[in-house]
Amino acid sequence: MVSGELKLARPAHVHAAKPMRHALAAFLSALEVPDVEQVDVITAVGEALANAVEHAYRGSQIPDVSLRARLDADGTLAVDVIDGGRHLPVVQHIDRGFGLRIVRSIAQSIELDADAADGTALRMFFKLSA
Amino acid sequence: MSDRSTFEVIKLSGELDVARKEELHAALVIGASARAILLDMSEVTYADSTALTEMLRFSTQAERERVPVAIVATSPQLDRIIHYAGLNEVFKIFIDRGEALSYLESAS
Repeated sequence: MVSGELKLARPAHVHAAKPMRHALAAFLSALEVPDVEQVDVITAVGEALANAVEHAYRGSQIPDVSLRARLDADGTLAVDVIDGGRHLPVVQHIDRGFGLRIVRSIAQSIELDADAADGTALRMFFKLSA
Repeated sequence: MSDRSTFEVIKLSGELDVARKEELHAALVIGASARAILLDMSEVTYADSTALTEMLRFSTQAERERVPVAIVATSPQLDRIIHYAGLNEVFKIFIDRGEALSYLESAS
Protein backbone atom coordinates (compact mmCIF):
# COMPACT_ATOMS: atom_id res chain seq x y z
CA MET A 1 0.00 0.00 0.00
CA VAL A 2 1.25 3.51 -0.79
CA SER A 3 1.90 5.92 2.05
CA GLY A 4 0.88 9.53 2.51
CA GLU A 5 0.11 12.29 4.96
CA LEU A 6 -2.68 14.84 5.36
CA LYS A 7 -2.71 17.87 7.66
CA LEU A 8 -5.42 20.47 7.90
CA ALA A 9 -6.95 22.85 10.42
CA ARG A 10 -10.10 24.93 10.51
CA PRO A 11 -11.85 27.13 13.05
CA ALA A 12 -13.85 24.73 15.22
CA HIS A 13 -17.31 25.70 14.01
CA VAL A 14 -19.96 22.96 13.64
CA HIS A 15 -19.83 23.48 9.86
CA ALA A 16 -16.13 22.55 9.82
CA ALA A 17 -16.73 18.82 10.31
CA LYS A 18 -18.18 18.19 6.84
CA PRO A 19 -15.37 19.67 4.70
CA MET A 20 -12.79 17.99 6.94
CA ARG A 21 -14.49 14.61 6.41
CA HIS A 22 -14.52 15.28 2.67
CA ALA A 23 -10.82 16.15 2.70
CA LEU A 24 -10.07 12.90 4.53
CA ALA A 25 -12.19 10.96 2.02
CA ALA A 26 -10.28 12.54 -0.88
CA PHE A 27 -6.99 11.67 0.82
CA LEU A 28 -8.06 8.04 1.30
CA SER A 29 -9.35 7.83 -2.28
CA ALA A 30 -6.06 9.18 -3.61
CA LEU A 31 -4.29 6.41 -1.70
CA GLU A 32 -6.72 3.88 -3.19
CA VAL A 33 -8.15 2.77 0.14
CA PRO A 34 -11.14 0.49 -0.59
CA ASP A 35 -14.58 2.07 -0.25
CA VAL A 36 -15.80 -0.01 2.68
CA GLU A 37 -12.67 0.85 4.70
CA GLN A 38 -13.06 4.52 3.80
CA VAL A 39 -16.63 4.48 5.07
CA ASP A 40 -15.57 3.10 8.44
CA VAL A 41 -12.62 5.46 8.86
CA ILE A 42 -14.76 8.48 7.93
CA THR A 43 -17.44 7.32 10.39
CA ALA A 44 -14.99 7.03 13.28
CA VAL A 45 -13.10 10.24 12.51
CA GLY A 46 -16.42 12.01 11.91
CA GLU A 47 -17.37 11.26 15.51
CA ALA A 48 -14.13 12.75 16.83
CA LEU A 49 -14.56 15.84 14.64
CA ALA A 50 -18.20 16.28 15.68
CA ASN A 51 -17.26 16.17 19.33
CA ALA A 52 -14.35 18.54 18.87
CA VAL A 53 -16.35 21.20 17.03
CA GLU A 54 -19.52 20.89 19.07
CA HIS A 55 -17.81 21.64 22.35
CA ALA A 56 -15.00 23.90 21.21
CA TYR A 57 -16.46 27.29 22.05
CA ARG A 58 -14.79 29.12 24.87
CA GLY A 59 -16.23 32.58 25.22
CA SER A 60 -15.64 34.61 22.08
CA GLN A 61 -12.57 32.65 21.05
CA ILE A 62 -12.96 29.82 18.58
CA PRO A 63 -9.91 27.55 18.53
CA ASP A 64 -8.88 25.53 15.51
CA VAL A 65 -9.66 21.87 15.16
CA SER A 66 -6.86 19.97 13.47
CA LEU A 67 -6.88 16.73 11.54
CA ARG A 68 -3.73 14.80 10.80
CA ALA A 69 -3.74 11.51 8.98
CA ARG A 70 -0.77 9.35 8.09
CA LEU A 71 -0.90 6.11 6.15
CA ASP A 72 2.19 3.94 6.36
CA ALA A 73 3.24 1.42 3.74
CA ASP A 74 2.19 -1.48 6.01
CA GLY A 75 -1.44 -0.30 5.91
CA THR A 76 -1.50 1.37 9.33
CA LEU A 77 -3.52 4.57 9.25
CA ALA A 78 -3.08 6.94 12.21
CA VAL A 79 -5.52 9.83 12.50
CA ASP A 80 -5.27 12.58 15.10
CA VAL A 81 -8.13 14.94 15.85
CA ILE A 82 -6.88 17.82 17.98
CA ASP A 83 -9.37 20.21 19.48
CA GLY A 84 -7.03 23.16 19.96
CA GLY A 85 -8.61 24.02 23.28
CA ARG A 86 -7.27 23.84 26.78
CA HIS A 87 -10.30 22.31 28.44
CA LEU A 88 -10.44 18.87 26.95
CA PRO A 89 -13.72 18.94 25.06
CA VAL A 90 -12.92 15.78 23.11
CA VAL A 91 -12.22 13.85 26.29
CA GLN A 92 -15.10 15.29 28.24
CA HIS A 93 -17.80 14.74 25.72
CA ILE A 94 -16.96 11.93 23.36
CA ASP A 95 -18.19 9.34 25.84
CA ARG A 96 -21.64 10.90 25.81
CA GLY A 97 -24.11 9.14 23.57
CA PHE A 98 -22.82 6.75 20.95
CA GLY A 99 -19.67 8.55 19.82
CA LEU A 100 -17.03 6.61 21.71
CA ARG A 101 -18.80 3.30 21.20
CA ILE A 102 -18.70 3.89 17.44
CA VAL A 103 -15.04 4.94 17.45
CA ARG A 104 -14.04 1.92 19.53
CA SER A 105 -16.02 -0.42 17.27
CA ILE A 106 -14.10 0.73 14.21
CA ALA A 107 -10.58 1.74 15.28
CA GLN A 108 -7.95 -0.87 16.11
CA SER A 109 -6.92 1.24 19.08
CA ILE A 110 -7.31 4.78 20.36
CA GLU A 111 -5.15 7.05 22.50
CA LEU A 112 -6.10 10.23 24.30
CA ASP A 113 -3.44 12.86 24.88
CA ALA A 114 -4.78 15.64 27.07
CA ASP A 115 -1.41 17.38 27.13
CA ALA A 116 -0.70 17.67 23.42
CA ALA A 117 1.01 20.96 22.63
CA ASP A 118 -1.91 22.26 20.59
CA GLY A 119 -4.84 20.93 22.59
CA THR A 120 -6.38 17.58 23.40
CA ALA A 121 -5.61 14.90 20.86
CA LEU A 122 -7.61 11.81 20.08
CA ARG A 123 -5.46 9.45 18.05
CA MET A 124 -7.09 6.57 16.24
CA PHE A 125 -5.27 3.69 14.57
CA PHE A 126 -6.80 1.71 11.74
CA LYS A 127 -5.33 -1.37 10.09
CA LEU A 128 -6.19 -1.18 6.41
CA SER A 129 -5.84 -3.98 3.89
CA ALA A 130 -2.34 -3.57 2.46
CA MET B 1 -57.41 11.65 22.70
CA SER B 2 -56.64 12.62 19.12
CA ASP B 3 -57.81 10.68 16.11
CA ARG B 4 -54.78 8.90 14.71
CA SER B 5 -55.55 8.43 11.04
CA THR B 6 -52.68 9.99 9.11
CA PHE B 7 -49.92 8.06 7.42
CA GLU B 8 -46.91 10.37 7.63
CA VAL B 9 -43.70 10.45 5.63
CA ILE B 10 -40.63 12.30 6.88
CA LYS B 11 -37.89 12.61 4.31
CA LEU B 12 -34.29 13.46 5.18
CA SER B 13 -31.40 13.83 2.77
CA GLY B 14 -27.72 14.65 2.51
CA GLU B 15 -25.21 14.49 5.33
CA LEU B 16 -26.80 14.47 8.78
CA ASP B 17 -24.06 15.67 11.06
CA VAL B 18 -23.53 17.87 14.07
CA ALA B 19 -24.21 21.04 12.03
CA ARG B 20 -27.79 19.89 11.38
CA LYS B 21 -28.70 18.94 14.94
CA GLU B 22 -31.43 21.56 15.39
CA GLU B 23 -32.89 20.94 11.96
CA LEU B 24 -33.11 17.21 12.74
CA HIS B 25 -34.64 17.86 16.12
CA ALA B 26 -37.34 19.99 14.50
CA ALA B 27 -38.00 17.50 11.68
CA LEU B 28 -38.31 14.37 13.81
CA VAL B 29 -41.66 15.02 15.43
CA ILE B 30 -44.62 12.66 15.89
CA GLY B 31 -47.67 14.32 14.37
CA ALA B 32 -50.70 14.38 16.69
CA SER B 33 -52.77 12.51 14.09
CA ALA B 34 -50.03 10.11 12.96
CA ARG B 35 -51.09 6.48 12.61
CA ALA B 36 -47.74 5.34 11.19
CA ILE B 37 -44.56 7.06 10.06
CA LEU B 38 -42.20 6.27 7.23
CA LEU B 39 -38.82 7.85 7.86
CA ASP B 40 -37.33 8.01 4.39
CA MET B 41 -33.54 8.24 4.67
CA SER B 42 -32.87 6.80 1.22
CA GLU B 43 -31.12 10.01 0.17
CA VAL B 44 -29.05 10.31 3.34
CA THR B 45 -25.39 9.76 2.50
CA TYR B 46 -23.85 10.20 5.94
CA ALA B 47 -25.00 10.27 9.54
CA ASP B 48 -23.09 10.79 12.77
CA SER B 49 -24.09 10.05 16.36
CA THR B 50 -25.90 13.39 16.51
CA ALA B 51 -28.37 12.01 13.99
CA LEU B 52 -28.56 8.62 15.73
CA THR B 53 -29.37 10.32 19.02
CA GLU B 54 -32.21 12.28 17.42
CA MET B 55 -33.47 9.13 15.67
CA LEU B 56 -33.46 7.25 18.97
CA ARG B 57 -35.36 10.03 20.72
CA PHE B 58 -37.92 10.03 17.90
CA SER B 59 -38.20 6.24 17.90
CA THR B 60 -38.64 6.08 21.67
CA GLN B 61 -41.35 8.71 21.62
CA ALA B 62 -43.15 6.94 18.77
CA GLU B 63 -43.06 3.67 20.67
CA ARG B 64 -44.48 5.38 23.74
CA GLU B 65 -47.30 6.76 21.60
CA ARG B 66 -47.71 3.39 19.87
CA VAL B 67 -47.04 4.84 16.44
CA PRO B 68 -45.03 2.39 14.30
CA VAL B 69 -42.00 3.83 12.50
CA ALA B 70 -40.21 2.24 9.55
CA ILE B 71 -36.88 3.62 8.37
CA VAL B 72 -35.75 3.33 4.76
CA ALA B 73 -31.96 3.45 4.66
CA THR B 74 -29.84 2.56 1.66
CA SER B 75 -26.46 4.19 2.32
CA PRO B 76 -23.76 1.73 3.44
CA GLN B 77 -22.44 4.34 5.89
CA LEU B 78 -25.83 4.77 7.53
CA ASP B 79 -26.34 1.03 7.76
CA ARG B 80 -22.91 0.50 9.29
CA ILE B 81 -23.05 3.29 11.87
CA ILE B 82 -26.46 2.04 13.04
CA HIS B 83 -24.88 -1.38 13.60
CA TYR B 84 -21.78 0.05 15.31
CA ALA B 85 -24.03 2.00 17.68
CA GLY B 86 -25.97 -1.20 18.42
CA LEU B 87 -29.23 0.34 17.20
CA ASN B 88 -30.02 -2.22 14.48
CA GLU B 89 -32.10 -4.12 17.06
CA VAL B 90 -33.97 -0.96 18.01
CA PHE B 91 -34.86 0.57 14.64
CA LYS B 92 -37.01 -1.09 11.98
CA ILE B 93 -34.74 -0.64 8.99
CA PHE B 94 -35.66 -1.45 5.40
CA ILE B 95 -33.69 -1.13 2.17
CA ASP B 96 -36.86 -1.36 0.14
CA ARG B 97 -39.58 1.27 0.51
CA GLY B 98 -42.30 -1.23 -0.43
CA GLU B 99 -41.29 -3.55 2.38
CA ALA B 100 -41.29 -0.64 4.80
CA LEU B 101 -44.82 0.28 3.74
CA SER B 102 -45.97 -3.34 4.12
CA TYR B 103 -44.54 -3.42 7.62
CA LEU B 104 -46.36 -0.22 8.55
CA GLU B 105 -49.63 -1.53 7.09
CA SER B 106 -49.43 -4.63 9.25
CA ALA B 107 -48.21 -2.81 12.36
CA SER B 108 -50.61 0.12 12.44
